[in-house]
Amino acid sequence: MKSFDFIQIVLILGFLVCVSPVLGGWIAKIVEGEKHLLSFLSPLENFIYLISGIREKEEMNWKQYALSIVGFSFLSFSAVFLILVFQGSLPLNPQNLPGVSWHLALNTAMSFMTNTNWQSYGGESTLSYFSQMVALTVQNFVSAAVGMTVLLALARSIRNKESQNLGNFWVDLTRTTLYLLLPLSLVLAILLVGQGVIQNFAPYLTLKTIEGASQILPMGPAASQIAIKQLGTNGGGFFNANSAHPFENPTAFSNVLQLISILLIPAALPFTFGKLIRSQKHGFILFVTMLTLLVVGLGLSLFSEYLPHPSISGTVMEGKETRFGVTHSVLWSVFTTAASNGSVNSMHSSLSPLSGGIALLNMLLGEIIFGGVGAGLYGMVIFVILTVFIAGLMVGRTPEYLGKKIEAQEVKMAILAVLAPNFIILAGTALSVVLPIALSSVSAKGPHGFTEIFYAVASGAANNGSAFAGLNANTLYWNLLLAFAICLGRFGVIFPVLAIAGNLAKKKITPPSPGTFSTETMIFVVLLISVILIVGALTFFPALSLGPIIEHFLWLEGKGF
Amino acid sequence: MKSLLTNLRVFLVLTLLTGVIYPLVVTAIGHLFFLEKAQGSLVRKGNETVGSELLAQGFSNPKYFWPRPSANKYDGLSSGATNQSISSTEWIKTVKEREAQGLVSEMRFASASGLDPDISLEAAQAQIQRISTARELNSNDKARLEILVHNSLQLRQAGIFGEERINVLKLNLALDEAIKGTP
Repeated sequence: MKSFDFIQIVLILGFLVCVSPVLGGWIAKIVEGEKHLLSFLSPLENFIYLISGIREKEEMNWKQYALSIVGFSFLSFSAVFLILVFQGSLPLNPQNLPGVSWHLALNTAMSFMTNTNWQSYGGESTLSYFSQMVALTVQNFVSAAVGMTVLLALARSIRNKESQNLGNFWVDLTRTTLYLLLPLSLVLAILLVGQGVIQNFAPYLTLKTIEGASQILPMGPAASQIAIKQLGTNGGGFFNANSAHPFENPTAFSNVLQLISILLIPAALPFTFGKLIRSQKHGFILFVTMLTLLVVGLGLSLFSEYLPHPSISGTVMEGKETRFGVTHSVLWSVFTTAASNGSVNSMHSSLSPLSGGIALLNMLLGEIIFGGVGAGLYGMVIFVILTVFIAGLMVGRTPEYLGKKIEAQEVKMAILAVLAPNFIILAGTALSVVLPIALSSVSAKGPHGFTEIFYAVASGAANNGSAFAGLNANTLYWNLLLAFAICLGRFGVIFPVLAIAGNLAKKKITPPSPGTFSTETMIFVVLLISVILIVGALTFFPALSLGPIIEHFLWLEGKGF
Repeated sequence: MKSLLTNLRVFLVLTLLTGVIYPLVVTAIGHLFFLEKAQGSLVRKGNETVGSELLAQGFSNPKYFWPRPSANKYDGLSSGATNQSISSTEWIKTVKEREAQGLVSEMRFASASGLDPDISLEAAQAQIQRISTARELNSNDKARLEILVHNSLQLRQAGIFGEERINVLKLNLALDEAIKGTP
């Protein structure tokens, strides 16, 4: 590594650390309906309520809230599915691309509705501009906003006492989209066009090169989708090569802008949460926990990627772009898997074994190292509840979280939220390594082939969406398995979280006593990280050792497959 | 039932806002300020469009600079990489073969997009001898070519971000323009 590499890393992380508290405080104002910078848009907000029939002041209990999410997600799923299947007869399709297969449409609809954005297809050869905009761009916004609403419901349940109220799903959805995601996306999209990201509706351009060969240039409204793809921790690329494609990510500046956007909102949310629950210290403690895990992972990944290759001299640039080099590629691979984003600017399958392993581990830990918009933090709160519970067991006291007693029901639900995605990851991987129909999609041999499978199922269940792309995932088996994993990974966490919220809201707030275990200290950070790592390690260490870990040691000795 | 209807209405409104109005606004503003870039940073030679500054072309004539290897043969309709593991024996063999052909640094490795428009200074300099021979350049012209390559180097953005690089298409156009022995 050169000094340039260190400076860039420090600048990017430093920017995030400085901006997060400010943005976090601002988001708290937005969602609480207080006056803020964009309040001049409130007539539009009220107009949306008017034509949708939403009563702003009407609050929901946890079941109504969950039901609204299910209804909204079902509509999202259906709309994407139908648009993709019938895109051949829809407008804005200059390449006359036909409708996609039912299982690809099902997989894509499930994937975009849940903020996963796993892609079994190549955008430029499969989807019309209409599909990209009206089906996918919309989901990029609203799936992130849905994640946010769940977090808001959870925060209110901690603040409210002896109540059923968790807020109004539609109000939270509208405010998040209108005041947070849309304005930020608009600014980012314009900045990206300024760097060279395309934004047009022209048909693909066929031309003759100066050598006399023929070349086809893909076109389309890319910038508008890429902005929200990063800000909403979505990650679904406009083109097959995702953010490695020069039309999606043309310069080092566009890369830095997108890198920052990946973590921008997830890193601000702990501060928002702190404001909402009236404990800014606890919000800060959660931020420190996430940042620590991120930086440790980044360090390990950089170390591994800069190791010399045993049989090849110089820097290995397979699956990397010249304008990004090694450091930007590794930074991205860590950010995108920590944040449940899943876009890529280098190919994770061609990273050094341990760097690929860190990307995988980030997802396996439950997408809580900042994680998805909203989703990362409510996932983290699940681990907080487990930690408080374990700490309570150690001192022999009823555990409390911010004045709310944590009892059997909450712990059961927390365990369920941890187990649901983990179960599907292990079971799905185990099933796929024995079924010939699954194995026929695997391209690499040896431990790397196993990692391809493991990574794909983990990416789906953790709602990340990045890929060890040697795997040919556009088959009936993989489309269906991953759609199932994605669905369980999303709603298998959302429902328990909302159930916990329903329970917590009903409880009284007990004032802290000398025996209360504080969740506002650095000791708590250490405990929380321990619980996260122990749960992750106990569940996944055997599988990880069969994949990236053994590959790393064999690779160091120059043994290949 | 009422809940479903509200969901449908809010879904349609948000679709209109984020899926139609928002992309159109970005397009309008983008075209107002950055028309060339919004349309793909196209490169013209005379009246003809000969490529995009951002997407690699599969130059294979020894008289031109070559881009990095591409997994899908520089196909604009299927961007992507080899996704090979760096511990794969097959992959190591491919890299060694490229080294044997005289390819250096990142020219030995397929890019992530398959359309990487850039190469490093080192990779460009290593191609000067081949191009000089193919174009039968005298020592004077060869020296000019070396200067041309050097001047084509794009520095780090703001002096810090990214890597130094040379755009292959722009270099080839400059090469045809400046150096004799046109193919």
